[in-house]
Amino acid sequence: MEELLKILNEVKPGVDYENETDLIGHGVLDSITMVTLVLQLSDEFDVDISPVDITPENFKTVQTIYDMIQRLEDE
Amino acid sequence: MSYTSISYLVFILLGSFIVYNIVPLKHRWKVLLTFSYLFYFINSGKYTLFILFGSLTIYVGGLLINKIDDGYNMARKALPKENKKEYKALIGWQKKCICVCVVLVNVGILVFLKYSVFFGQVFTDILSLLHINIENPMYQRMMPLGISFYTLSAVSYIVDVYRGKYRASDSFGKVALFLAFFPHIVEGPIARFDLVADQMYEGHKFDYKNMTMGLQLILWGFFKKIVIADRANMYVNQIFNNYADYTGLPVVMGMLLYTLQLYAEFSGCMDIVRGSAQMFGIGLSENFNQPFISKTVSEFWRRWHMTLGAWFKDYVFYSVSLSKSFVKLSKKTREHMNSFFATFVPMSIAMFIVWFGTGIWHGASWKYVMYGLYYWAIMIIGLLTEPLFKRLYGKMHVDRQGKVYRLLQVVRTFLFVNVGMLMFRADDLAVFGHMFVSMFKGFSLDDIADGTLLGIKLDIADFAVLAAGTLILLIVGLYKEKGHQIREEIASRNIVLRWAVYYVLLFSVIILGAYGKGYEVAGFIYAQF
Amino acid sequence: MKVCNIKKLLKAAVFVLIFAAVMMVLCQMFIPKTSDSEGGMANPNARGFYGEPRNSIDLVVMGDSNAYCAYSPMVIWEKYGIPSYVAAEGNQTIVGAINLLDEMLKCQSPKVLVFDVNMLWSGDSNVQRMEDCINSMLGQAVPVVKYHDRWKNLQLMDSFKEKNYTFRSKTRGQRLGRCVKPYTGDDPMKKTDDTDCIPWVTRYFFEELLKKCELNDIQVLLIETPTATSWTYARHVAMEKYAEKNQLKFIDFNMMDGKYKIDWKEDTKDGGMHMNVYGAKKVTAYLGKYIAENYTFDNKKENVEYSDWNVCYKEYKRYVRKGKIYLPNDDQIENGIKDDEHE
Repeated sequence: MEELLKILNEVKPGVDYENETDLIGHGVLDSITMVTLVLQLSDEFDVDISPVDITPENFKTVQTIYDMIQRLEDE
Repeated sequence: MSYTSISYLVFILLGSFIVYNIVPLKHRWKVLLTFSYLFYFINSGKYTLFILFGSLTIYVGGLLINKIDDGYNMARKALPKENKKEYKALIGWQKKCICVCVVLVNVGILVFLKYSVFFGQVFTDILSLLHINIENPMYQRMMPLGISFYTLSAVSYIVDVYRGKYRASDSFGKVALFLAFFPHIVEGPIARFDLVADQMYEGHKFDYKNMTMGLQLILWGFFKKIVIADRANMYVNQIFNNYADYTGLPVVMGMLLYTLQLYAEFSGCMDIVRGSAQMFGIGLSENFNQPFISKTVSEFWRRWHMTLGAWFKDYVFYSVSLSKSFVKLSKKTREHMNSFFATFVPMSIAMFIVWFGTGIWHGASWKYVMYGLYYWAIMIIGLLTEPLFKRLYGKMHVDRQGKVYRLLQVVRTFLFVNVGMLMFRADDLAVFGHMFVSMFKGFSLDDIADGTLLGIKLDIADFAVLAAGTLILLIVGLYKEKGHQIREEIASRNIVLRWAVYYVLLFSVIILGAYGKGYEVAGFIYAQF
Repeated sequence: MKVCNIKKLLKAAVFVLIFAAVMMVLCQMFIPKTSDSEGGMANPNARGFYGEPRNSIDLVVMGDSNAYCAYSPMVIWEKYGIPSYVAAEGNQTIVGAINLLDEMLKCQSPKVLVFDVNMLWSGDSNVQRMEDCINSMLGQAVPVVKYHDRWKNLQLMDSFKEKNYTFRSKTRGQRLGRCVKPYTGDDPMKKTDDTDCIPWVTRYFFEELLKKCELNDIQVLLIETPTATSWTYARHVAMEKYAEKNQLKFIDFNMMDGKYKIDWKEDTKDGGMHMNVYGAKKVTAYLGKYIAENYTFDNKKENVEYSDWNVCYKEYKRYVRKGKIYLPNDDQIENGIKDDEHE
């Protein structure tokens, strides 16, 4: 989780990620920051995030991103 | 057969609606499929075979992928753990082969029909640089109706199946209907199988509310297309077909009216399309979301022709930027560059591919390529200068969340978009250049007073109708943007007010519509793509 | 049926009824009250028969723009004393022609209809032909659809007046042009092995027109006026076949020889599409001869009720005598024709 927050702040600084309730709906993550994020996440966590996983549900909050990574790691 | 023709409304829409509501629920999708192919055949004749073939390829391709998946799931339990990964990679490769083949066949047909002349010309031009002169071996072929749109839908289906987003359908009829559904076949919205196919396939009971709401949406679309777009079309045609004769204000007006025309027409068509589908209880995707209040051009493209932008994002941008070679590239850039350029370099390359594709999708010429790259350039420059402006605004204490700043952003985006539209409509890039320069030559507001402007195809009454129409679009747009459900709100009002709105719309289409003698017949612009 | 469904049905019915009622009022308002162009009449020149004395026209020529350029009522009047009218509209559809004939039969009773078959092939596809026909029908049935554009100069006071159709065309429907712009392409009627047939949509309505003529005791003569750009040999063959099968007479002016052969350097005003007034003279001369030989008409030249026809003929002659205007280059065509056109 710590690591995830670090990456998020690197990709797009200046956002209160822990209290943000809708990262996509509120326009925090657009497609460019999304790809940057996904690339770094797959690198750091060694998971395979495919375009299908890029959904508003998976990237709604820090928690949902974290859950997604956990799920992908298990596969 | 255009969506605004009597024959569409009577024979296709009304005809299918009546038959749809007569036959038993479980057969209703067959009515839609029959009428869709009838509509297609009337418009394209023997070219119907192309869409039939396209449907077959994605259907068979999808089934093959299903089969591989099933085989893997059966074998998975029996396999020892160490072999699993190997096996998974193998079937991944097999699935990829199928997906790539199906995509290549479908996109290949589109490229062959739409772009062979263009690429042939590029090829001969290159040869002529080497002093080898040959004739362009390619000739323009007839295009099957809506091929630019349904090809994208077909690709989205097979790629989604490959990615495992959903299982491929066992029913050929369902896949065929998804591609050929008559309301969206001509100019979209570009459909996604998971969003619409079930709705189309399952029978819907007759629903009075769906019928009336659908009809109202169609009426609204007619208003936009016939009263606003077709009227603006006359002025726009005059300016763009005789561009050498005009300078200054008339050209600026031509550009603005073309933007109005394209918006009123394309979004109006979407209203007719979505209204038609709604009558059957089928909800198609929105394609417009108040594009002209966008603060940046990238926001504009999220609000304008939304299904196209979404398609390029999901199937080009993500495919490219998450591909293996790209992952490697971005790893390298992160090792060697500072964090800004580490993102900027791979992103700008991926975006280049997206905007090149978006541009050339609109048509086989350099003009459309440049149209796409124009937006790419704006976005790239925006990204590059972002840190600079950030510092600058910080020093100048500009409030970037303030109303004035946001308004200025909207105006700036509007201007960018209009210049894009000028390029889009001009015959070629040279004409675009000429017209762009001539806007600044001899610009004088006197043109309004001395009648120069009013003498160009439209008189003062026509301009008044256009102004009123624009105002209505603006008010409706702003109201919607505030989160109001206009149609629901009208429907909840008392009957006098409600009916007054419908009658006013209905009679303004009949009386103020730019149709019949004295008006040029204007086809839908996007139907040619 | 449930009560709520009946209520909905009733509501929908009321909505449609109000719509229909308003449409009727609008139709009344928008229909032109005078038959000239100021009154907003569509193609007033083609509808000048309203202004002629009742049942005074013996022969009518119908067709599209080719017909109103190629036929001169004045020439036939001078030579044979037959009062004729060319009721033709540009881009005419077959349903449009039927509608126009209906209008005409309200006030005239021609004995012979000369019908230019060029319009049977108008339109790119049968779908489009069907749409054109539907639109023509709709415009006729619901005049506000046809005349909606009059909203700009509609005056409330005048909207409910009685119709008063008195406009007369001095040329009796012909559109005169003195310009000469040669046709320079290949022989338009070169024999080929191509085959063609009358599109089924237009053929259906064409046969309705023939039935209507039979019902009203009107004899029909089919013609194709000269045109280098909108006619082919294959169509000629198809039309000959059709005429033979249905025992109709058909004259194709594109196949004329000798004295009546069209000179594509001199007789067209716009590069082969339409006849100028000199080409029209040639066409009408042959047509008049044919009509005089095959039909019986009274010569009304000395009839006092037709004395103004002689006045109009003199005006026509004065116009023709002014001579040809040769158009040297493309730029002047549009202006040249506009200045010169005369109805």
